[in-house]
Amino acid sequence: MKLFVSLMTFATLVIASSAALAANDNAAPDLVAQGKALVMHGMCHDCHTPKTFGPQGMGFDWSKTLSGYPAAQPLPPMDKQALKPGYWVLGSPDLQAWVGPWGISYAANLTPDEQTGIGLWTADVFIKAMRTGKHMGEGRPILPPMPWEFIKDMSDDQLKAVFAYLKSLPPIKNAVPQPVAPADVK
Amino acid sequence: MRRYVTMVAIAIVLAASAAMAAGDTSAPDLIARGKLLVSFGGCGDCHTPKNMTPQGPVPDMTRALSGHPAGQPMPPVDKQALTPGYWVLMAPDLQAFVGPWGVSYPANLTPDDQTGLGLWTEDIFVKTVRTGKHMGTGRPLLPPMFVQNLQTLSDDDLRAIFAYLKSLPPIKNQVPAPVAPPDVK
Repeated sequence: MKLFVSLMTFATLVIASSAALAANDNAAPDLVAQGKALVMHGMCHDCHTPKTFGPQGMGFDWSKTLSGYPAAQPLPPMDKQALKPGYWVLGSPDLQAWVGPWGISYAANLTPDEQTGIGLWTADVFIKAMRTGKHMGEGRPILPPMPWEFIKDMSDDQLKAVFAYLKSLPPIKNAVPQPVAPADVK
Repeated sequence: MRRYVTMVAIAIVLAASAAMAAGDTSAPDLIARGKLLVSFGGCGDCHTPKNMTPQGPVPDMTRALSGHPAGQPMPPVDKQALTPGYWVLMAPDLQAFVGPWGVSYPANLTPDDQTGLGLWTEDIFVKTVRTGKHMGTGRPLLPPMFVQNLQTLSDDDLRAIFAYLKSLPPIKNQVPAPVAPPDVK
């Protein structure tokens, strides 16, 4: 009987811990780590992290992780053909600004700076933005090439992990320019 | 006897739990996990052909992950894009890119033997991701394929992705070879 009880106890513990594992029931540091991995695999850095250019080609500037299009950086001269559907879409060399039939879009500052980043966002606002494809969940549409359609199928837990990671970043003050409508492109 | 049966039952539960903890999943689970990783990783953004609609480009899932359609016309190339510092050109369907590296096309990731991953092994796929080289030993994978993003995944995750790709219907589509800058017309 004693053997049975200890086996049952052991089995219960193992099953409980496996269930916790399966449910991603994480403590905060794990949540941040999970979010960090999701952000990397989700390719968020491709557009949202500034780049360095060296002999090895383009790299990520990890001192400015996810701080968006650098406010003062000039764009290459504009080719307005890109505003016409069917022509090439233009990407800036660092993949942080894009021009297409929607006008000019800039990668947002995803660091928790209060004025220029997501410092004042809540997890609910973030999840709503990703699910609806609208800025802060109710504003203007989130513009191409932001692939929110692929992100909206993530679970709430995954999106909360992404948000926890973003909130854990050092805040960087960088006021990314507003998008430019096609008629206003100069 | 009853105690023996109970112990066997518990042993089975323990074994199953251990397998779960080690990520040792069955083939259907592996494919499902790979599908999720491919979807969230945005692989289809570039690798799946699009249908042009009034709502913009929409992924054509009947040709999922089959790469740049052979013979598809492209807008005329503005050769300024070959100069570093100028805009990078992206085709409206995200299926061709022009930059200082020349012209690159998203590959056919379906398991067609001649034109896709049909003859690849799991090891070749994992090695390709780990080295950033075609088939693990060939030319570098070209922009905008950011292999760094995939390199943070575990071998198990990469195997799941490969299992999913191998489970797709094979589509015969010979994606053009990349074009080096001096050869861009």
